[in-house]
Amino acid sequence: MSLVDPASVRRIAHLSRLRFSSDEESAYGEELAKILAFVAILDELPEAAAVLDDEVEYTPERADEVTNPGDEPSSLAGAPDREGSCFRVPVVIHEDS
Amino acid sequence: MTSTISSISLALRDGSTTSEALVEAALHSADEQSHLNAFISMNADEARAAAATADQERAEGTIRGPLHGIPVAIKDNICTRGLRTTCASRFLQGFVPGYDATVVSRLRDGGAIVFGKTNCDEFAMGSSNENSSFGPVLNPRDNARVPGGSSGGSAAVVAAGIVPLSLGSDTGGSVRQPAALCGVVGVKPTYGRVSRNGLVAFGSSLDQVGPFATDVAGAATLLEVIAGADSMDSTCADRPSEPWSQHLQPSDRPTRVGLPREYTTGLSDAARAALMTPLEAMDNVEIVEVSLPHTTYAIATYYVLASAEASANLARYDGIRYGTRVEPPGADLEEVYVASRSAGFGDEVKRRIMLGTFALSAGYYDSYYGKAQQSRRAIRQDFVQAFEQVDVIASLTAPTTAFELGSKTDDPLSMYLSDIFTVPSSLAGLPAMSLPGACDEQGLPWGLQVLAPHWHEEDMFRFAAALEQQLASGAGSPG
Repeated sequence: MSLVDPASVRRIAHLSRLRFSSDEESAYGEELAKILAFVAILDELPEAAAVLDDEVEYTPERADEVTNPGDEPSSLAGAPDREGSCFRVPVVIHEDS
Repeated sequence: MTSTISSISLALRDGSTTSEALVEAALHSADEQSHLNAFISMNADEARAAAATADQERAEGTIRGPLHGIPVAIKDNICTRGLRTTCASRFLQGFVPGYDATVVSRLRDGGAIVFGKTNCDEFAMGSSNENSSFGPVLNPRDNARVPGGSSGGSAAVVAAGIVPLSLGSDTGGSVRQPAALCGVVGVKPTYGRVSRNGLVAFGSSLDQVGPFATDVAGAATLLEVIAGADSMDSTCADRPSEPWSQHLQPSDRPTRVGLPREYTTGLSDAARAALMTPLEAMDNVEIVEVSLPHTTYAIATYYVLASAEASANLARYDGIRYGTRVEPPGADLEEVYVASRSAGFGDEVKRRIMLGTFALSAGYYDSYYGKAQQSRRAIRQDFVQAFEQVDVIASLTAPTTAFELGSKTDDPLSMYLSDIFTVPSSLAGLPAMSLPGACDEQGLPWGLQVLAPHWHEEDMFRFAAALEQQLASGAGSPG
């Protein structure tokens, strides 16, 4: 599959939850094809390059305790649409499904 | 207000200025230079009130920290409680965070004044600040040129003398490259040195908040205030902040400065002179050629990994919980996601989401994402080996000085390549900074980059301060 073909662009757009017009589809397809051709240099990376022997800093462990400050305004304050104390969302399950 | 933090602090101490005067002057300057388009939101009322409080506290003998009463501008992808944070995106044009990023609370706790929110590339994706939904920022040194990106507004407000300090974020060079193009100092700390809590995520394994200032000491002071462990970010290392600004005196022993041959091959004579003339004029410096053999893979590696992380991080923008919702009549949940995202994101953000989604998709994961991870380890290893021979590494920050607005917008790849000297150290997680070097024949500054081993910010700042002094003496300026 080449990403330049419209079907592939539509597939990736669907996975990305984006929609493009047919002009945009071909423009994005061409640009992405150029970028992927450039990125293909990674195929030349020698297998032996994968060794890492320096020290890695690990994420420190911490106590499993609730630390929410408690004085923050409700996350609902930024909601585009709400009903009472809930986010209002469009229909999820259709009657005929 | 082109002064340094040390001169402003002195003036505040001896009473020759006040925080209120500083804020008024900054507001006046921002207004006079509004054509730069460097701010997305001002915070005038709160800044005035905070300045009055700072002056009152000072009169009572309370100094909360080295930035007490000093205005600081904040990139608009760093959350500020009650002050909108747009990431320069239509998607978040009305988003008002309910909390402060850790770096912002540390500034406020230390008495600094949150002055306003600066323009940037949308979701920090770009190298010219031309990807902002609020329009491009102009370079204060030449208004026909870009300020660099993505933290172009934060670099421009310091270069224009509006405020002495600002915060940006650096994922692949987004503090250092605009610092270089605008002629100010910009720092990307070691990954994990500064909390990312409240920094809107782009590439979570790369993002770091970093300071802009007019000089090395100012940048070191601002980093001191924001650095250190934070329980709100599990990738923030359990290491305390350090008094870097107090340790800028030259070292007694010679500094071994690495020059990566991959960064100097192919430079123009002018570019080479901008780098080499000051280095060769410095006392007590030993220049050593080093090699970073996997540099050639860096840009490809970065754009695969950063885009893959962006495609996952930006999945949260669905038009349901915050941001702009687009709800066509009769639309179901999935249609709202698609309509909101398609209308909310700009072209470059969509391009990177598409690239990242592709790199993570079934059948392509190993050959793109997996291979890029392997390359990232090799690039990191290059630096670890180079730092066995040298104390710091020096290079140009960007291959050119500031370029003209619109000159690269039609060619995403050529824009990506302008990050060639900053991306490798981001992938390796190293501390890195840019300081202004000599100017080219058009009067535009070159940026000089200094890199140090992980957690060695002290060595980086110390050498950068010596280089800054060399440049100020005039003996290191080519031609």
